[in-house]
Amino acid sequence: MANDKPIPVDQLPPVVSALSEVVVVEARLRLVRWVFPGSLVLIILGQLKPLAHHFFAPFPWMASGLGLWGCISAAHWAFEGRQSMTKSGKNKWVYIFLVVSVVVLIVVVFAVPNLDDKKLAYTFGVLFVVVLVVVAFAVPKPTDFQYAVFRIVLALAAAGVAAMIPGILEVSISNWLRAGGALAVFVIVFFKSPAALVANPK
Amino acid sequence: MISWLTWPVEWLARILSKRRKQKIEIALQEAGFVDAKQWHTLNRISKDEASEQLELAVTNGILEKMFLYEGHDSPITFVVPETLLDTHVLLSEIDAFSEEGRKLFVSSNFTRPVYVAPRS
Repeated sequence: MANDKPIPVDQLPPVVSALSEVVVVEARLRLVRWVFPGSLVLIILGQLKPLAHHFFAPFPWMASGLGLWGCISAAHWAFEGRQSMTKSGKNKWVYIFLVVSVVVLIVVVFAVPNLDDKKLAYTFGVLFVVVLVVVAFAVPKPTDFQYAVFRIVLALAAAGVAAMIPGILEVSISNWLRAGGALAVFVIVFFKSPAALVANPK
Repeated sequence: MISWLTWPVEWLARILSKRRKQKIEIALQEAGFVDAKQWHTLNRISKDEASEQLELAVTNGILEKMFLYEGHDSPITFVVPETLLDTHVLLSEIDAFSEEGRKLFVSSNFTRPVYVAPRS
């Protein structure tokens, strides 16, 4: 410890601001339970083309986009709070439920007839996102090599999921790279490196 | 740099915890430490949950765990890190200058764990 000395109580700084952060951390963990499955539901809703006629035309891509955004956000904070989630009995069961719900989603997608390349990419994308979340608990401190692998797999998984999201996305990096659609998502996720938060959360 | 991707849950967490934070600010004000019993009362959670949350905050570096000395032989109230439990401390080190040279044995039997803001 930096300062291994006794401290008079009246010289201690106020603990309120630190406790505020504790409250936010707990709120994040509670939210992950709801945001992750809710986002998966949004992604599913976004695949239902008839809803576009029922609501409005951009509804499918908006729902899928919001769902994907929510899933990534929840998965990130689930990883950040992995120690708490693996310690707490309640959260462990929540996590098992999340994994099972995603597996059911994958099975449903496979059961849909006329499975095309896009749906296949989407299915594997979702599967790999789930696998990565589970691996995040199993490997809390990845080595440099593992981090590099996580980065590539996460980027591929995000691109797979994005293959089913309608809309236009283009990315250009200097003069040497231009990408569109799902590949653009791959480029963004790979180069912006969300897995850096895995290796260095602070 | 990836905060735009992870923003939704963070934003929701901060919005939903606003009222709880205000309640804690009113209850604790300028207090320098909190213990598991206070945390359990403030948040209406079980004592085990309260201890778990505070210990997790220590693991994540949000709080620091110290031990409050409650013996009657000290002129001032002070906290010590775990490394100083069951050792002697100089009272002059804890600003009890009138007790120059006097040592106090910080028995773990007369301390209880409290949680303080981390010191840099």
